[in-house]
Amino acid sequence: MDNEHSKTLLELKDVKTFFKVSGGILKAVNGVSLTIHEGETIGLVGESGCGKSTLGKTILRLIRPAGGQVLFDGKDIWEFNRAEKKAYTRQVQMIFQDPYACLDPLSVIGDTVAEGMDIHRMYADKQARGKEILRLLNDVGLNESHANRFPHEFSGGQRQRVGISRALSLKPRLIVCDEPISALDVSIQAQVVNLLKRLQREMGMAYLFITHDLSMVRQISDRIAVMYLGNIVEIADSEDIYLSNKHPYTQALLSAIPIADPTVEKNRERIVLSGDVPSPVNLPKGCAFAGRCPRACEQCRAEAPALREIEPGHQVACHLAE
Amino acid sequence: MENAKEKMIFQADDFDRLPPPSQTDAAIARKQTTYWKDVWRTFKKNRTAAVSLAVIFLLILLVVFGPMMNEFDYRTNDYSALNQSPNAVHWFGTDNMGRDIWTRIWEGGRISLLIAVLATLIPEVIGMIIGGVSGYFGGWLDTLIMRFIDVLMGIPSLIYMILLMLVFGSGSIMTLIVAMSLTGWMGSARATRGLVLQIKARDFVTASETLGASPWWIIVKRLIPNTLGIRVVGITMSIPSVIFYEAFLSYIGLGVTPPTPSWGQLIKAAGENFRYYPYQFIIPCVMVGITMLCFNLVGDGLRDALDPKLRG
Amino acid sequence: MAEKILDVKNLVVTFDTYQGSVQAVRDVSFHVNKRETVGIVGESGCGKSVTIRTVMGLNPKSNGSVKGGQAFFEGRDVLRLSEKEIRDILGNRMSMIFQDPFTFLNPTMQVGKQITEVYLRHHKVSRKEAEEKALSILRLISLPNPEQNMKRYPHQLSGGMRQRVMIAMALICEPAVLFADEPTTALDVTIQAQIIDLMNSLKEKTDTSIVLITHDMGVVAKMVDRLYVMYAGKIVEQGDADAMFHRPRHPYTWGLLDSVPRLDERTKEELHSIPGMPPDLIAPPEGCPFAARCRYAMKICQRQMPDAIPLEEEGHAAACWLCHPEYVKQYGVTRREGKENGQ
Repeated sequence: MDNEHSKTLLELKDVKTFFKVSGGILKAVNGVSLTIHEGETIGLVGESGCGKSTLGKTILRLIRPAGGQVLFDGKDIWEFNRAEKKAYTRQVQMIFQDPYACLDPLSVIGDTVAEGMDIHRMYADKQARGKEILRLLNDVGLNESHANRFPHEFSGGQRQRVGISRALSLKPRLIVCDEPISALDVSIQAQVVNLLKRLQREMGMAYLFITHDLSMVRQISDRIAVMYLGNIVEIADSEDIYLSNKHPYTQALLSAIPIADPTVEKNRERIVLSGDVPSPVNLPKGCAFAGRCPRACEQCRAEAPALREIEPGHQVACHLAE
Repeated sequence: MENAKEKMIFQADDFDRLPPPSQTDAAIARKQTTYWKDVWRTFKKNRTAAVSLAVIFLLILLVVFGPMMNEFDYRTNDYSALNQSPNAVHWFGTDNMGRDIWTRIWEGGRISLLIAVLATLIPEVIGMIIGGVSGYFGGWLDTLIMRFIDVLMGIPSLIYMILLMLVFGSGSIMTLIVAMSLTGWMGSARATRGLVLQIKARDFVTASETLGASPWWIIVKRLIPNTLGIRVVGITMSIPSVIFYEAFLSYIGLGVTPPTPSWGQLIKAAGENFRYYPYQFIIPCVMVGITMLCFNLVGDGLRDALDPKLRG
Repeated sequence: MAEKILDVKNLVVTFDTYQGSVQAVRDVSFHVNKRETVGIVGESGCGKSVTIRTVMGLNPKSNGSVKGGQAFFEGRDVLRLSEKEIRDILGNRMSMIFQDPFTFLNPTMQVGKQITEVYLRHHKVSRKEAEEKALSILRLISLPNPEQNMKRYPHQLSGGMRQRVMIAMALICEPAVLFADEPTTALDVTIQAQIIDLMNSLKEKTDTSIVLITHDMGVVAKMVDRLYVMYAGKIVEQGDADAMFHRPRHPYTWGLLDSVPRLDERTKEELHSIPGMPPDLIAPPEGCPFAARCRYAMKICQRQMPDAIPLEEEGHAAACWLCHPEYVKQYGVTRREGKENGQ
């Protein structure tokens, strides 16, 4: 990619996150390697249960991985000392999916936005704190009159803005956005995406944009990683994912999304996958997608494909991709 | 539909453009009533609960101002006026040492209610913190605390109370409150833990974590305040049982000692000559009864008002 | 002219709340022809679900009330039927599928049994015959291994299979109308594609008309013949899918189409968004409810909202002053920006 994005911010090396469940071990994230550069947006796309949210939580130090490393500025986040841990929370922030659950119903908006600043004791002076709250609210298109109101007085889109300004309050370098728009109405979704784009232009933070919505993620991402059952199956520059995708799952995913135009829809060639996503407990040997893949062969069932680079910056985990 | 437009008269400026809408999403959504306002409205609709609440307020007023309403005090004996029936001078009569029962009832009510409130709130706070810690951290700490509570709760609380009273020595209000607090926190800890387990899974708690909040911050600022609303019912409902315990302990001689009156103490003292001077016995009994009933009814009303399923 | 299976006229529904009465549905008229798929599109709170639930008699009687209108279904006004008469129709002549099958299915009962129960409730047949009917319907909707899956409980099935089971329950009595309330919203895209394919195939295999309620213009494009767009309790535009997608005339429809980025296009600059948010339906604005968010709003829009104005194409109508003959005479036809006539 271009130079402005070349400095590595966060690096995942073969990260594995497992959960014990009745009946076995749920391999939510099963060996993911990914690099996030300063100031870029990576779209992390997949269906429910593919491990994309777990990966986000692993990056935020909310879940400890069973294997692999998460390196931030070259340092393993699980070997941080106390001060580094605290500093890390200022560098990496999160935006949530549910605009209703993400705000404390008992705190006024101003206090919610200021929570990070209060935790890190950034403003001893009450006036300076108030000023900063105001600045943060203005940044996301809210104003002074909102600071003393409770979350239930706001619409879903506005709550999401509050959540965004809370994440911005610590001036992070990376924001993990976990399905930030999927609970919003369509006319509001675009507002929030535009806001996120504008804030990135102004402040230069990187986004990890976790979503199942392949049409929206194209509008915001520099690179896109497609996940299936705990693995990244394809990662490339955003346009390459749409125009020269190689993995059969990426292709199926793209063709499954309806386009809001009946004429285009009628003439579109479509791949409809049969069956459901298998459970991530007790995964079969070989490629996790083999059971639903229209092109699966002997090799696919026997041996799991590794992610390999087939073009500069374009990696695919498929035996058949060229 | 076709006829609607037949004779539409347009004004000259009808087709003038309005200024474009502002791009920000600043309008406040409907100013909704807050949760508590909503609860209050439902609560008021419940006639019994509302009346009970009024009675409790009246009791509190009387407890505060009642003793000042006549010239007698609660401890001065007056041998010229022993065991008088209620009359114009002594509104509730006098006891076997000639003390004014009206004054003693409200003076005793002060102590009973003070014990009731403190012996409810103190264990509640202790229980909340322990339950909050237990629920938030989980794991072995949670198991340890919960098993400990299970064991303690297996033993009837009266036994602890009697033991503690024997250790601390009975008689003072403080001992009574301490003893009740030491036995009362377990139920509240359990209830709080259960609620904390639900609340800690919500995103705003995760948000605090990602902002670098310490466990203490999360428990005190996020978890406990959000359990309070639901615990209010439990707290209200436990006041009557504390009042009863106080009366009971005083009755068996483990409560406050004379001449300090409490309702339990008054009942005990009057019980001895119940057959001759029944009013001495009945009046404090009625007070205890009314108070317990009202708190219970208020708690009931609160529970209904707080339950979203029962709200219209 | 196609036969109208359902004809709703001037429906008005309000809900009483503490804060006042919410005017959820304000004078809505629509119809469904035999063997067609009709879409009702709108954002949350626009009244689309309330409309359908009212027609089905499913609204809570305690605080919701039908203030006016009629809904003719098979010659009878369903708004005026007794509860028993409604029960005879529901699941039989009219049925519904929901967004979340898990809350709809009984968790303690085998799914096969649940399907046959529906059939037995409305038909005097033996259990054996009902079971055979259930099997045939499960084959129709291509549930894998129908015999085995009939013996399973809902939690043993995947989300997509549960959705199929619910569709089977809705279809077993061969209803005249199937209402589908956000049937694919809770599903993953690959499963959504399967369910859309299934519902499209039903159009050819059965005589059932489908009323699809959704906020997703993509799903609509794939399924419907005709489309109604609802906003703030009113239908703002209606017409054939082709006209609605290629020649829409109401600014809200434009906004809906523009704010969903299309998979086959990349917008480098800002996404098109509709500013502001829908009005509060306790006190809806006097004029057009969309005026406050509309780039084309005029003075008249604040005063009054027009009735649906018929446009050139048969059945296409929009409730917008931009479409009024008087406006068109003076200023010409206003079309969606950047997407000229038929693209």
